[in-house]
Amino acid sequence: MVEIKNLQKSYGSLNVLDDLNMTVNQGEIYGFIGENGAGKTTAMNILTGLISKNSGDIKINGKDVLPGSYCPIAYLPESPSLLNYMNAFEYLEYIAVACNYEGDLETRIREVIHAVGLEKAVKRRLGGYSRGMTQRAAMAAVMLTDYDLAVLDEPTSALDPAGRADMMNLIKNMKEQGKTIIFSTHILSDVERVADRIGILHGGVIKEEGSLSELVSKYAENVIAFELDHSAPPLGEKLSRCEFIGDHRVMGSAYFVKITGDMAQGSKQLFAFLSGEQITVTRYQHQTPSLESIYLKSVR
Amino acid sequence: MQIFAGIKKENLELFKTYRIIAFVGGFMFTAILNPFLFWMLPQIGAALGVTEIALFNTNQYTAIAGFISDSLQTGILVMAISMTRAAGGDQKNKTCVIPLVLGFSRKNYVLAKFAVYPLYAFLTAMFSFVTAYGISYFLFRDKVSFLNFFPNVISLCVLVAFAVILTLSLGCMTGKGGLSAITVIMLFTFIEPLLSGLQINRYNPLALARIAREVEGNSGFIQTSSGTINYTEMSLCILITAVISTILILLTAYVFKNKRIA
Ligand SMILES: Nc1ncnc2c1ncn2[C@@H]1O[C@H](COP(=O)(O)OP(=O)(O)O)[C@@H](O)[C@H]1O
Ligand SMILES: [Mg+2]
Repeated sequence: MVEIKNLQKSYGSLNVLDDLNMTVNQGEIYGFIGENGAGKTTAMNILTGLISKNSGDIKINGKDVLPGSYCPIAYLPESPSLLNYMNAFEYLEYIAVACNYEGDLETRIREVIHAVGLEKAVKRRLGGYSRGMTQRAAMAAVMLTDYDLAVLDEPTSALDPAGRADMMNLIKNMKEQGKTIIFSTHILSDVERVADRIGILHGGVIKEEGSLSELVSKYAENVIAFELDHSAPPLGEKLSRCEFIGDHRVMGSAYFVKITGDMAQGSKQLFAFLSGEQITVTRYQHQTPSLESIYLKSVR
Repeated sequence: MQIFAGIKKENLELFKTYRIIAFVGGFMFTAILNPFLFWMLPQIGAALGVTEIALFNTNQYTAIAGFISDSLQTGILVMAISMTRAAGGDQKNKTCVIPLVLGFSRKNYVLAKFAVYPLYAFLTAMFSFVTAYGISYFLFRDKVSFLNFFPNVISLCVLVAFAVILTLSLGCMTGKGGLSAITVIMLFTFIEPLLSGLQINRYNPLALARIAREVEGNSGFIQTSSGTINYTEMSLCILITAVISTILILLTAYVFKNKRIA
């Protein structure tokens, strides 16, 4: 759906994007993560044609995005500015007519207002909206267009936890309607919740790209944690004699074991070993790296 | 139709932000003030015991000439200032980003502004003239026919519409509404009087200001006015203004289309 190759952009001597490559597939939610100032907004502004690139190729649906060419994208800017003197209904009507929305305007506007949960504030001036409400109203405008590709720049950053959950549900709903969604954020838990694939932007390049499970297995450390009943005798001695265990640490009744060879095979062997010891295992867990630890490792 | 969305937006902006008050305010102020001012002058003169000086010898011609002269300065000044937001503000505060990126064509976005403001400017000038005429007709003893001022009014209205087109055009192209307002104000308060004073203000839009001030029968209160209108020059100036306006609008649409707005 979206293919970015060797994208380069600098502001004067400041190199913001340096050979950026990313691929977003049809119908997926792509979580675009990176710290503040990493260049997420810059990349999205180039993708939507708001600013120019220095070099590189961008293809949407196989077609080149060239300066001056217009491709309908439902873009939610980072801190959206709405028209303060209008109310939400007037604003959405303006956007709908301005963007040639075909269909029953009134019904569609009520629909998106309902979706973002602004029914009660629909007749209030947008100038009196809080940041979170502004974000919702802007999201309503974006949803109104019904375009296949949505690019959302930090859609959750102005929202409280409940608002973030709502926003994530909106994004999931868009996906269910067959849309492709790219959203940027620095809040990793949002990405973990909904993203099908993830791109980590750092130093002007995509450091990692893939599904969460792909990244997890790439960064997994083959560690299994288990905990024993308090009455169980210490196992340290025996563990260091198992050839499939590389290293282990003991913290009270909790054990952290590093598997040397294949993880699945090692886990099976460890399980068999524990069963043979006639002890009560109260917890048994593969240590999967969190997105946060993946992120920190990939950018280091 | 896209452009109607833009026209409606510009209208809501003008009225809901009450900018319309400033937009017409300068003109209405001079339209109301001038007739009363010139009506009182002879009485002030009488109170001071002077009657022979022309300054104190006013009539409806003088009142209208005063109104036209003032509206070319105060009227246009206040109008231009009231338009700084419309001209460049939506690029500066980025309110244009969402509609433009969601599919509002840039061409229609700016054309909507040109469809709204010059028309209101023309009507404002016309309406304030009617007000000034009405008040002065009521105040002065020697009544003058409306038709006597016709060429002056047409020149004034066309020129005011042009001033607004220029403000919008500069503002949309540079994204700086304040700068464009200041440029237009300078043009009308310094450049035009200077050119007219040097008697080299001919065959250009600003010459309409000189023509508008040529009020027939004016008792010489406005110094640069000879009171005679050259209709050929006036028609040519209006034509030149129309051509320049069209070029400005097309140029603005072109520049805005290729502008970085984020
Ligand atoms: N118009 C601009 N002129 C100069 N530098 C800019 C401009 N826009 C962004 N930058 C710089 O580019 C870098 C990336 O910014 P941005 O894309 O906004 O990052 P992010 O959205 O990931 O927080 C920052 O260092 C920022 O200061
Ligand atoms: Mg950003």
